[in-house]
Amino acid sequence: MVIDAERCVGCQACTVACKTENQSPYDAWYAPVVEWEAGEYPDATLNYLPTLCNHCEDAPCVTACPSGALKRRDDGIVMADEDVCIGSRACMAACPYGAIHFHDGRAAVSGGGPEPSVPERYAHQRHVAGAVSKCTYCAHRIDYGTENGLEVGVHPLATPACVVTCPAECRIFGDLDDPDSNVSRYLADKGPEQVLRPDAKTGPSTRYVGLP
Amino acid sequence: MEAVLGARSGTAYGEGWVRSACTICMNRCGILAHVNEDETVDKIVGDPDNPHNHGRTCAKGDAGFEGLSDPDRITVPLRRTNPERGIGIDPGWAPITWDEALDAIADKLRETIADDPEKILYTSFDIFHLRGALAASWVTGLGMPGYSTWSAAIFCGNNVHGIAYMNQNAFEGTPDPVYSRYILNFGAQFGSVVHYDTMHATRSLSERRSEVQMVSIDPVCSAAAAAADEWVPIRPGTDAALILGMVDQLVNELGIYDAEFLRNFTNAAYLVGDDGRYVREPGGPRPLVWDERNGAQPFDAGTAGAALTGTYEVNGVRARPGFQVLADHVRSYTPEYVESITTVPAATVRRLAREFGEAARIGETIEIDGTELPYRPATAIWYRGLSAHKHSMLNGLAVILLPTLVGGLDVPGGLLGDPWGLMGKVKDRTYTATASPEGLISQGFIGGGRVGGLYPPREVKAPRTTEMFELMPCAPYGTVFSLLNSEQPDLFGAPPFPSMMINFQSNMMKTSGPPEVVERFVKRIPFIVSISRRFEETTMMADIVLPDLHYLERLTPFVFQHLTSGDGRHSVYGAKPAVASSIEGPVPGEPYVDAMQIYLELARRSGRLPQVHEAFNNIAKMRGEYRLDPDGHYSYFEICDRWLKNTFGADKGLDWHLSDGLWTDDKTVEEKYPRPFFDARAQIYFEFMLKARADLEATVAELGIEWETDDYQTLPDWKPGPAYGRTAPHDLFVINMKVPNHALSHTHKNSILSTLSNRHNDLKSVWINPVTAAGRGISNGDRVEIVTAQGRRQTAAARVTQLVHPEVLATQGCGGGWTKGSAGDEVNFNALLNIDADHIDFVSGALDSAIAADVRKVGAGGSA
Repeated sequence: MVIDAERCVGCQACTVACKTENQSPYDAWYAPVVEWEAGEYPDATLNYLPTLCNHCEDAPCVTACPSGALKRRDDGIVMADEDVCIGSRACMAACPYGAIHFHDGRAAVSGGGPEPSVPERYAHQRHVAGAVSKCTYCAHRIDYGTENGLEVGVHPLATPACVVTCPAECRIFGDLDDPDSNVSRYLADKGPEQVLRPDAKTGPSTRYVGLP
Repeated sequence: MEAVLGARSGTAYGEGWVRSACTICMNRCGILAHVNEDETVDKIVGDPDNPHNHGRTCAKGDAGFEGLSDPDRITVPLRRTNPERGIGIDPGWAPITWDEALDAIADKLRETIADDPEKILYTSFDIFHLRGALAASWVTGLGMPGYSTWSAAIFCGNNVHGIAYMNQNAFEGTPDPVYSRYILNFGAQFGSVVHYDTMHATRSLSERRSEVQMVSIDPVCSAAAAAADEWVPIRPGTDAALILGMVDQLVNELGIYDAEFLRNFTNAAYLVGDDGRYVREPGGPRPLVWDERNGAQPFDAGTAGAALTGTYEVNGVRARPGFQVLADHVRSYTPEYVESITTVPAATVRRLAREFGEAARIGETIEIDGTELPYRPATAIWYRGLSAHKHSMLNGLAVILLPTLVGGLDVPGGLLGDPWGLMGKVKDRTYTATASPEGLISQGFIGGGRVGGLYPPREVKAPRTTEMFELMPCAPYGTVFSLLNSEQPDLFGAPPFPSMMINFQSNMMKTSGPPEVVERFVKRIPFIVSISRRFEETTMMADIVLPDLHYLERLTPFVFQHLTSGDGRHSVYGAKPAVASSIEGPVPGEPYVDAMQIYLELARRSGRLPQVHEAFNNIAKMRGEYRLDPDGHYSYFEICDRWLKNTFGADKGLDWHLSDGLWTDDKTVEEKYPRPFFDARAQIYFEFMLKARADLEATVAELGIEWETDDYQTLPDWKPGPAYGRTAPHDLFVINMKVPNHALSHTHKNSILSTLSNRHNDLKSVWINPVTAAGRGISNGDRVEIVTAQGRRQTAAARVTQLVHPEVLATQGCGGGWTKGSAGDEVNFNALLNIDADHIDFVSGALDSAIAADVRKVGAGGSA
């Protein structure tokens, strides 16, 4: 995923679209827009930064996980298997981005959604108390798109919910390994390419341009 | 039942998705709602086929399905059993049948209509937007003077709508999202997801962000200011001084103005005598202009180079073009004087004026669809920030000068009118503005009754209702005077008080004035009906409650029928039920899909159905076979079917609406940028104010009441508001701002959005500048109490931040409240307002929302 931070207006649509898509536990927000103040009055401003899991190539959470619940798929998406997770929270300590969330048992806040027991296609909305959960790049959408011949990152049903909703079109999703993909072309055009916490050297798949 | 549900296929997303419209805020985006097998909705996305929001949604829209399965929903009609009404008093609700409820209301309607139909207070905010001609027909058919747009009318576009109609024949103006390159946000949040046309604007601006210079002039670094290139902090309520200082710089120092535009498309060349009135042709209405060769000529005599400057003698009197009068008028607004009022440095005043003037590229053109048009890519936008002030109308008349002086009205890059003049004219739309005998744009405000425009001023009459709208010839609404008359009944001789109120989708107890003030007003109304989905604060004051629907259960054919500004395509669409409500409706055997079913049934039971049908034929411009027989009886579905076919054609009735329902069309260049294509003129000199003032003074003298008329001026000034220049301890201004993840007050009960707000603590906090906080011994996170000069109080958590002017206490959203689901620990800014003559603009009906206040620490961080 590529995020053009300069375009973000801080509206939190991504934050909420992710919440309703994934029914994340109570106060877990997988894709929040982070805000912080900079400067001194009158030359002060508020910076916005859309965030989510970085799906690192060398993911410290996977390395730290004692139960094998955290795994990196072949396509690079890092997944947490909540049924396998033993709740050690070692991954949370290891993640430099605070992208992993522990489910303390409180219910999701979004009313009106299906019960977790409803159809199989909502498996991603079923969260296990005492386990960790995280952003999956909406892997269920990517998989649905791949299975149904929809272009990933282009067709809205084959694109992460945060990307689909964004009114400022900050986010683009595609294949970073393909030099001709939408994401690669955007990086080439609008670069330089940046990542969060480069010092952590984790090889994030979430790339940025225009960081504040 | 299937027949009234929207089709769940045929959308860009395929099976399971229903195309509808979000009605959480006035943007009314096109959406697709995903419906599960068990008739729950679990996802809302933007409709990719809809050119209004191009497949996008905001945080509010994403969370919109919340509340569908709310266990606290009102599901049956209720009657109050406890005769005592008030905040915190249990109404003792008892269920009644629809028949009992409707008959009781119809009896009251008949009784009130026989006495005086103007004593029906019909309050709603969104019904006239969403239900258009049908709602208006109901109001007209019952003989009411109109609807009252409580509570928004106290804070909404008091100085926006009339001015937009005056200079743009439009409901409001917004910057051109595609071609504007320099945008002054005066206390508004254009470009953030908080404003009209917001999805179009946000996407267009983000696409060309590096080419657009955004400047936010605001006491707080709002969401839009944070995303802007520059935040210019300003003392609240002083924007008019800055604007007039910029006008002085533009016309007197820099000589930057669009002379050709001013001559041909405004009244700038109209000659004005020393009495302030136009110098007119002898015996006729036409104002004169000065022609170098032929002397004074009627404005429309074809004079090529009418003078904008100079002093002349005409018919024995001294006369100056309106532009010269304006230039002379603003000379006193020197940058240094402006700095002393606004705290904006004099150098910044000069720079902003120069930047704005240069960015307007006067003289340049651009080709759009093969037509060469003026290109004026500098503009300004304002809303409540400039409107909610004691001298609201003067603020509005000041700011409209900026785009007008540079020729930036309804041309590429300029301020674009939201063309509500096109409403309902899907097939045979023609964009034109009617000219007054003075040659000025004179199309009135769409509305009527208790809602109106600015020019020409309406006839002044003795007040017929407690809103006293008849004494406000230039205001869009008079709502706030209801509260003033309630508080001080002797002030204006106690004009007629409502006998009954029907309250629909508005919550005045929480959203207008201080709760105890509104409570006193509401308690005096003998009979109250509330149509509501939940037990809102105002619903709890009702005698009869009728259940309302969630927007995803509604059938409303014309939710969006005004047309996106500027480039892009027209779109007209409505809402349809994504899920069927299990709530029984007012008509036995008929699925409940919209509150209009209640209104039609009430009309029938009160004997006014023929009048409603006739009014509908007129207002909706129904033709031939689609017209309603006054003596006929039609279901809501049948009326929708006829209305749709009358609008779109015989093949696009209710079936089409349910299975598709999105109408789009290309725009002509005239529709995108209408200004060069019609003759009626905009104004920079507001001569009509003199007549309005004279009429008003004569009437109030006759009535023997005191009425403020000082602000009926031909040119705007900055004047101090009631909180300006106060001494300690109330030397701060408490103000309020919008947040992008909330709209109005109703989203504050949305569990997803309120959890998000809690995370940011945005609704429970007050922003205080570090210097101010230090001076009062306040640290970040402390519990503080805001105390106004009038003694009103709210507690909050201190957010000590660099993002706020040192004289300002900034609160956010429309929180607080006391019913189930409301968060009492949120700041209720409206509870700090003052309902008195000092805080009300008698011209526009605005209520000053910059309140003199102190802030004190009452507890350390983390304490209750």
